[in-house]
Amino acid sequence: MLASCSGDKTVRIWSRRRGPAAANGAPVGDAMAASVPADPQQHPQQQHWYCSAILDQCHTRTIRSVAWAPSGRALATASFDATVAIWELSGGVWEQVAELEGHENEVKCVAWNPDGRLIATCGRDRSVWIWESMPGREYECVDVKQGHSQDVKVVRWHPGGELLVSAGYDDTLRLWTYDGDEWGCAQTLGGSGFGPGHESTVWDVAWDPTGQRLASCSDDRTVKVWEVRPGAGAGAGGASGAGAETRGGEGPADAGGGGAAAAGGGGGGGERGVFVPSKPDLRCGATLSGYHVRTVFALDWGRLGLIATGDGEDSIQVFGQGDPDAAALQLRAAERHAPHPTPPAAPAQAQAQAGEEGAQAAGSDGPGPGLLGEQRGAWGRWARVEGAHESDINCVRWSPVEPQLLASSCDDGAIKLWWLAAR
Amino acid sequence: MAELINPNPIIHERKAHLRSKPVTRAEVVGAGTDEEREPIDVLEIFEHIRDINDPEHPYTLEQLNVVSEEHIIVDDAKGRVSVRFTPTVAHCSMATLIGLCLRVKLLRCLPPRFKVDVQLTAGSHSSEAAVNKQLADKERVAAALENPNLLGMVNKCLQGPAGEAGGALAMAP
Repeated sequence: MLASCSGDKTVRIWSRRRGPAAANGAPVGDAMAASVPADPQQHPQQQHWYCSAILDQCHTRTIRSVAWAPSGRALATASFDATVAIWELSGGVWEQVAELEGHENEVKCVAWNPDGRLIATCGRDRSVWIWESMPGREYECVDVKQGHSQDVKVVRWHPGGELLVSAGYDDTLRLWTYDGDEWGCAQTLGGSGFGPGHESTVWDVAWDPTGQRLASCSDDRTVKVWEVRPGAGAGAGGASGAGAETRGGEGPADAGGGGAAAAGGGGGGGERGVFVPSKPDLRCGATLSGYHVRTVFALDWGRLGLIATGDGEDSIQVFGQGDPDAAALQLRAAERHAPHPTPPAAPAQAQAQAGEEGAQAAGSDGPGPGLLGEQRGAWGRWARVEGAHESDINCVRWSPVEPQLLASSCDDGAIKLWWLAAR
Repeated sequence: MAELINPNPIIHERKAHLRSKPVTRAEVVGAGTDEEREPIDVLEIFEHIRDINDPEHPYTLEQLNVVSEEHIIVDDAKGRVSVRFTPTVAHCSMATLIGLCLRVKLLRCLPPRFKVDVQLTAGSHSSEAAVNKQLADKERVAAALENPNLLGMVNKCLQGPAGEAGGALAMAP
């Protein structure tokens, strides 16, 4: 299942059509087009999805963000109307069960923590709010953090649960931890005096599936990977500095990953310390610049260990670390093992499954292909789709169930699904 | 508004109509008209924006020399339009509103494949970087246009010559 939100003030739930009938016949109802071309022989991953629910008549302005509860049984939506709504599926119908009020104006992002107990929101009023789920579908604000000097575009929880990252228009990322009493800013990434950071608005952030590193993307047209200083925790100094710079070429020839080979070792491939979420101490380990020519609006770090981005140039790009050929071999081997992922038996189960697996991804390997390779070595661009959409791409998200499946959304109202194939 | 920011702006002549053909067009997306259509050029962009009202004065942006052809760049093939504008005074508090009007006008006139960048001309404003960053933030622009008061002011400016607009202005911070 996939949830999308829009300037049309609705949320739509998209479900995968199951059964052999999907192979021939058009998608039903209010269907969106899966982006995979139509020849099922050549493209065994052809999927058919349809709009199974529309959630409306709740928000009075643009809905900017939507998030699944880890259980997969609830949704949170954040709107420019200053409210956040909680929805639950009951008797086959989505119902609004709670409203979170407190932000002064536009709410720009909402995120559940991995155990579903906490919700974080942020917005134009420059604040980050943390809410706790109480018995009886009550939600209580437990803390309001002022720290950002401008509007906050995004919040995302660490897969471990008690670390939150926020980022936005002030070009910084802030890491928030809980000391048993209140939430506090444990580290600021970027901004004056904090080392090299983003030079413009940070639009999106994502933790890597193991929770060891953080990625961010920006109006400065770069993607940055933040990681523990080499040898951190062991008291080793030195070797700090600006981190590896991975610069893309302009020709189409580098789509195969030539950039990765050129960058060599560098800081990105060195020994990393172990990241302790309660004591975040991150620095910029790699900057991916030269790949995007306009604002990078969205990124997501999937279970395969790959970072997908969507930008204002209508392109989707995928970045990987290490040897792309070895990764492709590994992916092909995994595909042979499970050549045709079976759609889940029923939508309700799919929902639950998505949630559980998403939560699991932090620690052990779930079913299906896990992380590709050792997650070290230089970063390079492994795939690029130019003109993936007709306009700016606002969001990209990997499926928590099928690691090769990516969803993207665009200003023109379209949502597309992509299958990452190993060549 | 109690006082005008620039009480005595210099007024420039409206240039004679530079091209006789009508500039209105309807580019049909996906239809086979691509080969026949004329590329969008600087002059056409200028025609779209020259008669936008100044938010403060009963003159157009052309008459106040806020916009001019020299500060428009068009790449029809790539679908890019860049417009730079010059407020009449460097501390003009209307700069974001003017920029917003330019952006809205071009969004309404141009086919969706065009990406529009609206910025101040270099050195023309005391808060140049801040205004440019604000105008480039499409989330803030979208939020601003959901504000009925602000949208009303924009629409008033886009009505063409004459008409007055005023009042406090705060674009989404």
